Amino acid sequence: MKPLEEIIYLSEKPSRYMGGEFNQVLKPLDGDLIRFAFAFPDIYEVGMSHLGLHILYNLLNDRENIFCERVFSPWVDMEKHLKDRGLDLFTLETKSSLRDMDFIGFTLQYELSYTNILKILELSGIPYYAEEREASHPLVMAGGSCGYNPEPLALIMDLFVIGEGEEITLELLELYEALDRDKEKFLFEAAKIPGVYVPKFYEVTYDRDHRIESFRPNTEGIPARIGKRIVKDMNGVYYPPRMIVPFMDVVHNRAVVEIFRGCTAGCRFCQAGMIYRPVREKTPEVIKQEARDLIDATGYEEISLTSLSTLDYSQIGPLIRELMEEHEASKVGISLPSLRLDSYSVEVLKEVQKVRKTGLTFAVEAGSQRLRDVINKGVTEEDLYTTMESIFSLGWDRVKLYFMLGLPTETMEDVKAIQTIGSSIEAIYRRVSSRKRLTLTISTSVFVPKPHTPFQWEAFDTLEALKSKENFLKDALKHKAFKYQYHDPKSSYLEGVFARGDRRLNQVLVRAAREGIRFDGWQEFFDFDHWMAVFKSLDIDPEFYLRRRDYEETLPWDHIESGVDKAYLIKENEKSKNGELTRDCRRGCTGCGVNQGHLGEVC
Amino acid sequence: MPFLQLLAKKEGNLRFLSHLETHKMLERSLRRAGVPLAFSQGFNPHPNISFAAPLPVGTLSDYEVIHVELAVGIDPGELIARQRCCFPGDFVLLKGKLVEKSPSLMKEVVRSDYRVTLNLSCAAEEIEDRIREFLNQDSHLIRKRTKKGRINDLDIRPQVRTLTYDEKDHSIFMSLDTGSVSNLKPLVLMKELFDFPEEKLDVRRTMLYKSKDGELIELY
Repeated sequence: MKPLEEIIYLSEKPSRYMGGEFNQVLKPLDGDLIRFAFAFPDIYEVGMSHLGLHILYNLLNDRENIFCERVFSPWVDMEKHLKDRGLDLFTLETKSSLRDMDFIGFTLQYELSYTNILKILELSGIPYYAEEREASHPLVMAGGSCGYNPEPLALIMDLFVIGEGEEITLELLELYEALDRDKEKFLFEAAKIPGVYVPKFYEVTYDRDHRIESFRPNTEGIPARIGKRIVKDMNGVYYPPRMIVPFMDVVHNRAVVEIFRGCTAGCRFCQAGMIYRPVREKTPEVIKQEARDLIDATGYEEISLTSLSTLDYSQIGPLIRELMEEHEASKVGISLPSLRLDSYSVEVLKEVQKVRKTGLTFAVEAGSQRLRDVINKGVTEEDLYTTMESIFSLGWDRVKLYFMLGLPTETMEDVKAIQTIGSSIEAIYRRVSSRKRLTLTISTSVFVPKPHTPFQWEAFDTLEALKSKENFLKDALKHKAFKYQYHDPKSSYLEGVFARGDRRLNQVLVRAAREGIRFDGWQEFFDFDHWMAVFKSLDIDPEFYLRRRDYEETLPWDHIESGVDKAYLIKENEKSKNGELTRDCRRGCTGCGVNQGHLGEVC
Repeated sequence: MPFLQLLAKKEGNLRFLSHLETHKMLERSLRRAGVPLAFSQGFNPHPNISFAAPLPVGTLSDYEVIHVELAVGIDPGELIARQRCCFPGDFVLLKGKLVEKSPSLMKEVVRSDYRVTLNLSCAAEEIEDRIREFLNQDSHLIRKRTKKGRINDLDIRPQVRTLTYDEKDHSIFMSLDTGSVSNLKPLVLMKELFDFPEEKLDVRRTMLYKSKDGELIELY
């Protein structure tokens, strides 16, 4: 074995690092290839379940002059092997160092993976700060949903892509080639492309209380605001006809077909629901063709129809029926990532479960009707109970319900309502089912206010309050039919800090990384006290980022445009205070502004 | 229903796959190739695929024997000819044939040959002395944890049928009991003989045997 093979062999799970999976792309390294590393700042199992990776990987590799390889965070055992032997972190395809790349593209899906980004740079011998890197170093860029507030990483990244990456990534690589790979010239020209943010061309000043006083370009010709990019025609856009098939069991181990982008529900806490607007569907014909291609090319036994709200697809019933018919003989099942609480969902379920029976998960989000109205989650208790009744009579015994704790205006009454829902469902089960096998999992996560949502001005709940809400439910849900899953509020606290953070947080990340902090999204490594010590040593108060903000305050992400007007977000925030609902915009435009301006007439 | 019997090689990085991962890889390769698999009944239908003897992680193989239950018969030669469409490059189908009913492959295997190439320097005499010393013993007990967690003494000496050193390519050849009655893994023996770090060893299975009328014959 070669030195790298030796440590792959010695690692806990060699198939995280070995590469060579079916549909992996290899290219001879002797040409003039533009080399791009798609970097996912978490382990292989998580990264390989991310659809964006499969799209961009194949999109880039379909170009003759581009070679895209993959790199993931090495787990701690591999990190140690690399350090002990003085080896660089490597790409899975050719086992190259990231220093041999022209670009490293990070995807930002979760704030608690930011330290992993720094760790990947460190293990590659690349300086953390953009200004410390030289022309020989790769350009470091990032995209993904967390990039809608790029500021906590603004001094680390050379460039951000805002919005959907299919078109803009190719434009950027073409520009790089056209400018003879001159990185300085490239950054200046790239900064003028819509959807590209090059932080070094912008200057921030703060007032005495650390609030942003001004934010503006520092160079002639650089746009003041950066609008997101979207794909207008989902039927014409590139979709990979193949996907890498991991050898190991990854989180989502199946063929994935994206059926639409965007969501019309308008839940006020939901960042995805705002930033991915407008809704753009693929036709059933396109979806069926993509499913067919992927099944042929991967050998998967399951197709997942993915989107933010799959049951809202306008022709979901016929689509599922036709897919089932086509793939039943080869025992390929259809899976749906999420379900709505209504009778229609039950009908669709009956169809899907002919081949494979899976557990069922529903997002209720809040316990009381009052609070569900505040967040604009259009679900009533009656919807919930009728759906449960049909599910139980159809033979299901395992259901999982999602809720959030710490939503704006939440009181103990709202939390108690979660217990009431649990008991009522248990009673329904006893009434309609003669079996005695109910497992009702109640899962609570902690609400984190996110940029570009109507709740972007809200305060993060206090750790004490969240803890006592969880403790209440721990006691209240002690019953053999219930399983209560909850989330450590302290990691949500840190997520909240970085979600609405500013440029001052770059030094916090760098300090944390220097002190060995990483894998914050993993409970076994998350060290809250260590983080607090880091904040203290830099004299930065994390509470500053969790506080309630005024509509007038300049927010760190105000220069990034999601297409949804700030005025609309304010209106929605005001309506939430009165528990006023806003309709699903499929039933009539609610005037969020996304169909105005440069995005134009898409819905 | 008919069974497809395959003989395959496992090369390169595929050595790092666990038995379970190899199993899944083969299932998906066969699906990609459009082989009509037979499925079990029930809510989670799965195909019937079995390997003669699981290969330890890290081991290469010239000789993997596999049975796949089919819904309808196929032409194995045709599958072998177009295998590159659907199998990872380092998994190579060498031969294939249809067999009527599957005799349990796992039960048939009695012995395997392995070649262990040493990627480290060690004097030939030292290795040969150690091998001679081992072979001259009547018994060689090791402590082995059973599946139930108890620790038993196990005599591995009779499980080692051949053990030789080949100076030409600095490798050790071994023929070991394999199967449900008596089973010895090559690295277990290597650890008893030497204190070489296991990442410095390239282990390759070169043959599997079954017994017929008191004689050893190739399994495939």
